Amino acid sequence: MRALYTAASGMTAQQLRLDTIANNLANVSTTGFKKSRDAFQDLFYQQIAGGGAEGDGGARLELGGGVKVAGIERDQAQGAMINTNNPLHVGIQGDAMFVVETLDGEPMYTRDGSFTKDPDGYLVTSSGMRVAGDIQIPDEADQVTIDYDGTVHALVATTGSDMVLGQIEIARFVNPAGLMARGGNLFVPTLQSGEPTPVDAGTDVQLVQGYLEGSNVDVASELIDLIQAQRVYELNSKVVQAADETLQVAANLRR
Amino acid sequence: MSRDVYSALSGALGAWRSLEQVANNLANTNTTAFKAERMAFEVDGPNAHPLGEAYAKARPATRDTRDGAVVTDGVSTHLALQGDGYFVVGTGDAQVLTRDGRFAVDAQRRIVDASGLPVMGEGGPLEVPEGETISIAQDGTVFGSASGELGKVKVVTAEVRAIGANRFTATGPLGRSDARMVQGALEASNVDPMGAMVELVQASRYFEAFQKAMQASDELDSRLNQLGGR
Repeated sequence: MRALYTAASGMTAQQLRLDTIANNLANVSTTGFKKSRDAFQDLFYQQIAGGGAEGDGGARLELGGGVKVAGIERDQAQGAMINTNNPLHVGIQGDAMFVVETLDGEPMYTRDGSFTKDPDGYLVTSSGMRVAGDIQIPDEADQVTIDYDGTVHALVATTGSDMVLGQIEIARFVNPAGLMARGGNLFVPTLQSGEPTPVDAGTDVQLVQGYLEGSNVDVASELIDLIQAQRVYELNSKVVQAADETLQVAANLRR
Repeated sequence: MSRDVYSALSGALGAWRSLEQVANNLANTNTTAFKAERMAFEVDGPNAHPLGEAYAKARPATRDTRDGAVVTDGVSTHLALQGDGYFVVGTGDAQVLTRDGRFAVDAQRRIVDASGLPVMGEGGPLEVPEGETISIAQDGTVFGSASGELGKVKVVTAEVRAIGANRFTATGPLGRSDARMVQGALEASNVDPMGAMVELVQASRYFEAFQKAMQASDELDSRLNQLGGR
């Protein structure tokens, strides 16, 4: 009966792979989205004993029990920068994340820089969470500029004054793939990701005004994975069929 | 009861084992660096007599050690091995071997495998300094973007036994490996789906043939019984 369970593990794994691909494809246009991939590992090996096909003493006779998903790994590769011409949109070029605050003041992290102003003039995310750095844009500001290092300036045309409003805070994780996704393009640290370290933007990490980071999902390779997942699923289902038919032949021994 | 039914039974069980083996290979068509295994059998039994008993006896499975395809994914901590060799992961007595190069950097800045075990360099675990990116040469030398050479990924050759989770334990002494590494890529499974399907059909057919043999033997016995009854 083992062959049935082995094949079933293969089918379950491919099903999960389909789920992952579906989520990647659904997020092809999600700002700052990072695609995921399943990591597969073989299952434990079992020593065979009994029956007419037994091994001799010294040699080991082992059969693997199928496959399991060891984890789902997020690919942190940079997404393409998409020009939006919105002065409050910021894209991160490099390895870092925006620090945003929940209403309770808890920090969360995101690569989604589609910021706006709230009624009080504070720089907030599209879901209304404040961007760390307490940047308040005055009503009289005619133009907002954001430097590569995240410094936000407000220009007042009538007086010609250039006010520095603050700096957008960004942080980096040793293992960003270990962050936990909370939906809404937000992430929280875990033991695996390590603690955030503040990053001085400007050199290896740059903040680009008027741009958003696109999703890093590559549609063509996702579709190839999709085809492959479907075929491997099919192959494993054939094993179930073959095992079932073989068992039927065995059952027919007794007429 | 004639003994030939047991010969046929040993064959049928062997065919079933082959089917289980194919099932495991096909289930691991997408498992990183998986190596396909194949059942082998030999004739066993007191066959000194020309018409002596003969049984199918399973021999240890042979592992297909050919390299899987190198699939590029651009992740700088992923490594694909080319050639005979294994990475060493884990510390102390818990060291195991693997060809799965799905490595990452953990919260302690160590290079670790998919299960979080540290990847061994020639001089112990490999660490990535803060804020640096790494590049890995073909011979396994790891360079930090600012601090230069950080160490060398340890690769060994050995006779191995699969223990699951893409890991192996060495069953003999470790040797020096000339395997090359490709950064930003993973080694795919070397299962050949076409060949596996052929083996699957073959195993099913063998099983059927042995079933026929068992039935024939049964028929013979039943005829003998009828003789005795008259």
